[in-house]
Amino acid sequence: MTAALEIEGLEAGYGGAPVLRGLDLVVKDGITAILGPSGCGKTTLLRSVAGFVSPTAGRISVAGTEVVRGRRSVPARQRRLGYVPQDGALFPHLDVAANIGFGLSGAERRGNGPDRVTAMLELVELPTGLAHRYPHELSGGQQQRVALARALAPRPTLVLLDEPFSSLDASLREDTGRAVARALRAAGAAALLVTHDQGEALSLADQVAVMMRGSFLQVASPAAVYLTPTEPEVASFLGHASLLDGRVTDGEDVTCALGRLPLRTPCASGAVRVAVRAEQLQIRDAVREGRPATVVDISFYGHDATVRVRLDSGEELAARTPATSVPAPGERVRVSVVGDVVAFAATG
Amino acid sequence: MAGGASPLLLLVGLAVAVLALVPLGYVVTTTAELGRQEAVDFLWRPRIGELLWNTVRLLVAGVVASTVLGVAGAWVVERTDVPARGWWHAVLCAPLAVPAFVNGYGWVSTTHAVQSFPGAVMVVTLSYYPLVYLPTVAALRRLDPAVEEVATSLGRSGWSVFTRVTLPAISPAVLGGALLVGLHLLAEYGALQLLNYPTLTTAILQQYATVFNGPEATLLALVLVTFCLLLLGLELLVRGRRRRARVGSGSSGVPVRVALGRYRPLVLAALTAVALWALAVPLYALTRWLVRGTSASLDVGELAATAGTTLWLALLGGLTATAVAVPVVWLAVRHRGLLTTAIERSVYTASAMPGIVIALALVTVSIRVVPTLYQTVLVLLLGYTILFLPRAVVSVRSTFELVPPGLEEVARNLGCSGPAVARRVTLPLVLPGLAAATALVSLAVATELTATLLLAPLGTNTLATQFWSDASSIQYGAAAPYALALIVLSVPSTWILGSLSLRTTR
Repeated sequence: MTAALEIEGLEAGYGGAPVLRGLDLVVKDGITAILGPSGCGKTTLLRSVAGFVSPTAGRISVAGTEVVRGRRSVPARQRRLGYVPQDGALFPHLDVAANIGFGLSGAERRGNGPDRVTAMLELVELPTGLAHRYPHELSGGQQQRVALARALAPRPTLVLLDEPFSSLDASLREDTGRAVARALRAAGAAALLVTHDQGEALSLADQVAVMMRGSFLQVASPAAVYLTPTEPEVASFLGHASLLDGRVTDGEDVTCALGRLPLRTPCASGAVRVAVRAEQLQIRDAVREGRPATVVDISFYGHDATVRVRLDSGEELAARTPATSVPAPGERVRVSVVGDVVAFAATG
Repeated sequence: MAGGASPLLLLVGLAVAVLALVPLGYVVTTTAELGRQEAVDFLWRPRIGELLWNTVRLLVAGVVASTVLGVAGAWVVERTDVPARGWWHAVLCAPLAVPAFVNGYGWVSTTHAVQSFPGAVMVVTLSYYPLVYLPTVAALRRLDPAVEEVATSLGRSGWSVFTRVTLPAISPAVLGGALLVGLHLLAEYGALQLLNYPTLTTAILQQYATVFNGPEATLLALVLVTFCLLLLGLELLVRGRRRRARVGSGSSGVPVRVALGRYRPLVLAALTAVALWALAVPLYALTRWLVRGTSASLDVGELAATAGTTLWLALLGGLTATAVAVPVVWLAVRHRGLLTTAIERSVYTASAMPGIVIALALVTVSIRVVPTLYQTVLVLLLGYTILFLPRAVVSVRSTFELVPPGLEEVARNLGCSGPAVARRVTLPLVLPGLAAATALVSLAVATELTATLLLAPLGTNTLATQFWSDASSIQYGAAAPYALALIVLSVPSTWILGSLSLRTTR
């Protein structure tokens, strides 16, 4: 089976400043999230695939058909991709049915047999009664679903989603995200989802590409990028990992300010950076084990709290604690680590 | 009905509406004084049929040609990779600085071939297409490019994206521009008189010239006003069905520009042709007459005095009309209702009246009601206000629609009083729009001809009236310096308008 999207050595830039520096990516099927901070080039990557930005080098194939090779490229309208921009960008002068039917040929729109527009509405879990509403009469989440239905109607093999949920409020974001993922799977379309929200990337995607400064740092499953990051930057960007200096002596353990800790993956001996996840750190008082520290400040979330502490040896760490046992700022506590940690050979 | 507007504001709005309706009231009452059989006998003549046919075909052809030219120019500048985009924008705005009658003078003093229907259509189109071009450029700038990108990704060609997505989205701006062009064509006198193309308006002027205040001219004016009302009704009907609510906040990025490719030379040639036709021909004619006319001894002192008077009147007229437009727009936008919409629409009725009808209405009313005002600058300013209020309202309105009521509510919540909200929030936001409105009206006042001829106090000469007295007596050389001064005076406001259309909020 041909991959839905193949990218090789993709480079792009504006006026001499490189934005994409040689990207490689294969999307077989399912949802691939491009995760990175704003300005890392993820939107440029998406727009290169869509055909709105002309890359300076590299190759892009969609469903086995080459659409970009070096400076030669197929026009955007002939790539047969679904595209869902931020805010959905529904056509304000057309009703929902006309929006969804926009990319269909006349015959498909008039239809014989099951109506494509109705099928699409059902696919994105919207009541068919919405068909004759206008975009301004819909909620933000409904607009995004209609935008997806419009993108899926011409049966593309690949759908591009550009921060599609960023303008929705938190409760709507999760529901809409799940509905979009279900609809994409039901339609059998692969998707490239650009986002800066790690929760969104990890929960919705089958594959996550972590991007920084125009390059991919790691491309792997959500669990792999979270549990076994290959770069310290991936570890600190995903979740609240604190980075500490340490030293590996035997390849199995690492010694750092938090004591001697087991390694999750083997690491060469020498100076290393150790990544410790916030949920691995236990903050307790009135116990003897663990390293002494002082509480700096606290963010209380309800289901849990993030506590920042300073070790007596000087390092600052972020720890997640249950809501029931939150210390007060300035309190003396002891910090210990649960489970194994990841270490990266120190560079420079 | 007017949703909580303060009585004082409503009173001001009603006063403006009454003022704007004075010319219409004048036409209607004078017509009513006329016997019915007399009116039918006058209107049911082949001569009137010919005038109607001339007016209608000029209206239709002129509006269509201006719209096509204005929209095509805006699309090329905003949505294609045409080189030197900023320069072409300036070139396409520039004809606004050449008054239609100066343009007509330039053409007619070059070739008499323009004294025909196609010639008339060409000259008025070249003079008035910027009225469509400017709002269209602004609307294209505001349009979220993502909407066009989605249409492209759904397999639509450039043309199909334009007609099915872009055009519907910018249609309110295009329609507004087309309406303005139509109203201008109905009221145009100077250019058409020079081109020897008789319409209802030029006929009215001839009637007035022969029998000062004759009933026949008033009857013709009534027919003309009917046209204007039909046009307004049509625009209201079409605009009313449009849905233009923008969905979401939209992150207006840089639009993807259509690559012209092998059409580039063709597009550049077309742009150059517009520049040559609309600018080079009248300017060349002007220069030729200027060089030839210097022998006829130019009175520099008189020219300077006339220019000073024009400048002063233009600024005063611009400020007055804008100040009067604000309460009207405020009522229509914030207190939408039957009454407030009626007030807003009533100001438009004056715009299809030729300047001379408004002027004569004011002359008659001032002589009958307040004789001391007759032959004063105040009456002239009232005339300018009635005449140019529609333009001021159109641009002030588009500005006020950009200020969400939420901002004002926030300011009130922060403890601002009503006037403080206006001063600290609303005014700074709408000031660029108000400046545009003032510039637009000043430009129009500086080049206004017929109303000034009638209403200006004795001895008050403007560049336009001085130009007209020379040009209409075929003293082309003597008219040239005044024409040049008119153009020079119009350049700054044209420049303001051109740059404002590019600086819409992104």
